[in-house]
Amino acid sequence: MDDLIELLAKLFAAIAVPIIGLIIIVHYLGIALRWLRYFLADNWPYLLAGGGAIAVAIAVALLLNLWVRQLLSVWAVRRLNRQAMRTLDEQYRAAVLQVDRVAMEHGRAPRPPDLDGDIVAGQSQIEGGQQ
Amino acid sequence: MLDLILGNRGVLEAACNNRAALERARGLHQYAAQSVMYATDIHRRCQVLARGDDELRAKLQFIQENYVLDVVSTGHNLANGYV
Repeated sequence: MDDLIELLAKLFAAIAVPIIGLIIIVHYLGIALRWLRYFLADNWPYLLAGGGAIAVAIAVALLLNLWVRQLLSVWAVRRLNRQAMRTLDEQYRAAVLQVDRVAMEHGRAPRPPDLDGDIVAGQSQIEGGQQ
Repeated sequence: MLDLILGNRGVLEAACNNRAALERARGLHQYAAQSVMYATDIHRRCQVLARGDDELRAKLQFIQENYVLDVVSTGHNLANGYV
């Protein structure tokens, strides 16, 4: 008799409890789906507008991100170019001064920098012409 | 619109990088042209000053070589993205 009761209890636990749980879940799922259907039927224009607005905002943010990155990288390269031209000017000026000094030590007077249309020390002609 | 942007993101990024690369190339070209002008000027200057003096010519040659090494070094740095 006890074995029979135990068997019935096990059967109940194995079959009835899941079935009851499933019924409860399906019941509340139906309620939720019905609510969702009414909600969507009432609010679909707002949801569509909201989704569209979010999509547009993400698109604008992505474009802005690309644009800013491009601007920053171009600025960085331009700054690097300016630094390089400045360094080139300084090196040229130092070399000219050194040449003149050594020449004067040997009793040779350095030429004036503008003789024969030469470059004036420290002036970047290409850079100056483009800016 | 989002799909369009996400789909073309690679193209847009390549375009951005291209602009920076073009700017870098422009800077290198400008640097090279200017350095050639400067080197030519220094060379002419040295030729005039060292006429008839071999010792002075050797010294000025040394200065010129140092100058060219400096210019090449800065050019390498510029090409590698730092000065």
